Amino acid sequence: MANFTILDVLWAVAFLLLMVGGAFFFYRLARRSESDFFLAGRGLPWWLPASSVFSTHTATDTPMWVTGVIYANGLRGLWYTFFTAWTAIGAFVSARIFRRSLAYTQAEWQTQRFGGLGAEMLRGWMAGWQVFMNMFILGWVGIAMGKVCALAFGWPIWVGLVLPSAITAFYTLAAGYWGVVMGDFLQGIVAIFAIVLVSLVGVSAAGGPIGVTERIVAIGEQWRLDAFAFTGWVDGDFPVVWWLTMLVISVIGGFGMGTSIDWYVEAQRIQSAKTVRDATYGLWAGGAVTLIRNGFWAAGILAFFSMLPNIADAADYELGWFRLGFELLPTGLIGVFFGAILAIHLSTISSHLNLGALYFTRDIYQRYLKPEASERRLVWVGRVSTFVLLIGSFFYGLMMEEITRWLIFALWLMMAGIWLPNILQVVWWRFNAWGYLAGWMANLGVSWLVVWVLPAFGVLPKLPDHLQFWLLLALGAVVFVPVTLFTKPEKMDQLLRYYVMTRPIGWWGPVHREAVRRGLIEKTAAKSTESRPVIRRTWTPQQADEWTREDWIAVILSPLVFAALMIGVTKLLLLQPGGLWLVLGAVLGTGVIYWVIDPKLRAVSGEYEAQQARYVEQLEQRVRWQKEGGR
Amino acid sequence: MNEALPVSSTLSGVLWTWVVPVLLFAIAFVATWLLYRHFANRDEDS
Repeated sequence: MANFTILDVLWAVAFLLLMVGGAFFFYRLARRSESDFFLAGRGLPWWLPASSVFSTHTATDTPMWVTGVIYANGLRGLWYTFFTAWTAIGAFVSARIFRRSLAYTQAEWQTQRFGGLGAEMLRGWMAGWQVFMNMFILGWVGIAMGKVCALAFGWPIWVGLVLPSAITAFYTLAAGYWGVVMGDFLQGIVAIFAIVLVSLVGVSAAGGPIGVTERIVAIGEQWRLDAFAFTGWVDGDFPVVWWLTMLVISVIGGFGMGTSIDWYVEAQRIQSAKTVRDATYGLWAGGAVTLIRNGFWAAGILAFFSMLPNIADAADYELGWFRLGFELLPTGLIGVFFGAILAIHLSTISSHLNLGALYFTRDIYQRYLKPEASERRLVWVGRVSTFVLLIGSFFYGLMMEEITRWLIFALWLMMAGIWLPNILQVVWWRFNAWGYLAGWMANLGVSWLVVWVLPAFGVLPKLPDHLQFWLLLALGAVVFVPVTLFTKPEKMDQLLRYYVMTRPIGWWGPVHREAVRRGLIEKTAAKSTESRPVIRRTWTPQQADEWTREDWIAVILSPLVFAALMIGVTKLLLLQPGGLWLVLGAVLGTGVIYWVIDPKLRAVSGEYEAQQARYVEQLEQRVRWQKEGGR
Repeated sequence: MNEALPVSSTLSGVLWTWVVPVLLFAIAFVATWLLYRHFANRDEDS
């Protein structure tokens, strides 16, 4: 248990009151409309969604599983956390397309992308799934907090599960997404402070960077300092094929929507940004800071390993980073540290409470139960569904034991069979709702079969993670490809509406030609014979709508920058060779990306926002009902 | 069972017990207040 003094309790309570009170303060803004309650009125500058992306990616369970993979695998364990890198390409591709759709959720976006009965079935299914999934995530994050409270105070686990989540629900119910995003900003400040401080204190206590390195080398474990310490092409704990599979899943996944479970949360942040440009930078910066965070954590956890290298039980070493904070910080700062743990917990709980409520309110209640509901009623339904999600999460949480096992199952397998459909729905015009639905249903069945049921009966050997992914992907494709090709494509009018609005990347030739033929868009400027500079710095809105080499430069450089940041920060903190160069290279790469893509994003945003202001007004049906005497 | 870390804290004194927490609290408080004022005022203007 941590050694809490009165002063520590004072600081922990002060930061808790600030975080809850500060977020609650925004309730006046949240009660105005559905758009305010779930998207903060779609008017946030990029740095607020960015801080929210970071804070939401940082949950109480995150330091546990990051500690788990770094303690077990050394620096190469950082690649387990590189799934966040879907934001590297996602920021420049899927974020732009999704932001232009103006859909509140992916379920709503799919009724723009697809049409007819299939699209409605898909929307209902996705909404129900997301309500369940958010409850599930709330449960596992909640149980992680239960474990931390047990470590810090010796409380029964259920107390840590219920109490902090109930406090979070207080401001999430009142202030909706305004409370979530403002709380995230505030909580992000406190969390970054704690993460940086505890990691530096851990490294310092272990004898500084040189001391950590020498201790690890002395026990013959220097491979832990190498992020590329492969155990072979296909054999061992860290084969090259695993690493390549992970890169494909995360990096290429950025072309699609929903290839990571984090997508659904970040989709809300993308849509709450005030322009396409703000959405892009918000997602990119949030992802980058998250990976820098992992770099700091890794240094601290390697320091922890160097001091206690023989912990065999995962449930014990998963708490390593928390132990650094509770055992090494002085009186006063222990309270701040616990305040930071509360911060990362509150930010994740509030995000998933609000997101689950959004799917229920927008995609089930408003779409199918009461389409004519007033703004006031929708906000009320949002609050009730937030409360129901909270109660449901307590039951899920109490059913879970080990954090990492559930997380890896959810991250790795529950998405394997739908990874490709999630990309195809964005990049291929011919992919339809029936194909997507078939992929989903097939995945639900085969993922359980391949991972647990068939190995339990000896029908199939227990496969390594990367083989499970490719097998699930192939089995899914055997179902969804024929279903897509044997059913009709979406109607051209539906595709045209979607295409003109979002201008998606990929294979959209027939739709593009039809849009040109009907005069809905101008003929592709790129095909004209007019010469252009290598990097275009001045754009017309029509030119900016096309996908050009500037986009591809950002798409290629961005994952490299993310990887260099993540590895470089850890190496720099441990004074390892190459750390400084990796960080400097990442900073330079960031500058190049900005220089290349910013003029284009400004052109996209300027024209697009002007065109769609009226459409948003209709979409929201914004009624300021407090002017009508409502509350 | 967990053994204690074989090292002690490298931080101590009034700076880390009082000054740093107060500064962090003040920064977070002021940032929240400025955000609220910005967004509440912007709404009244529109």
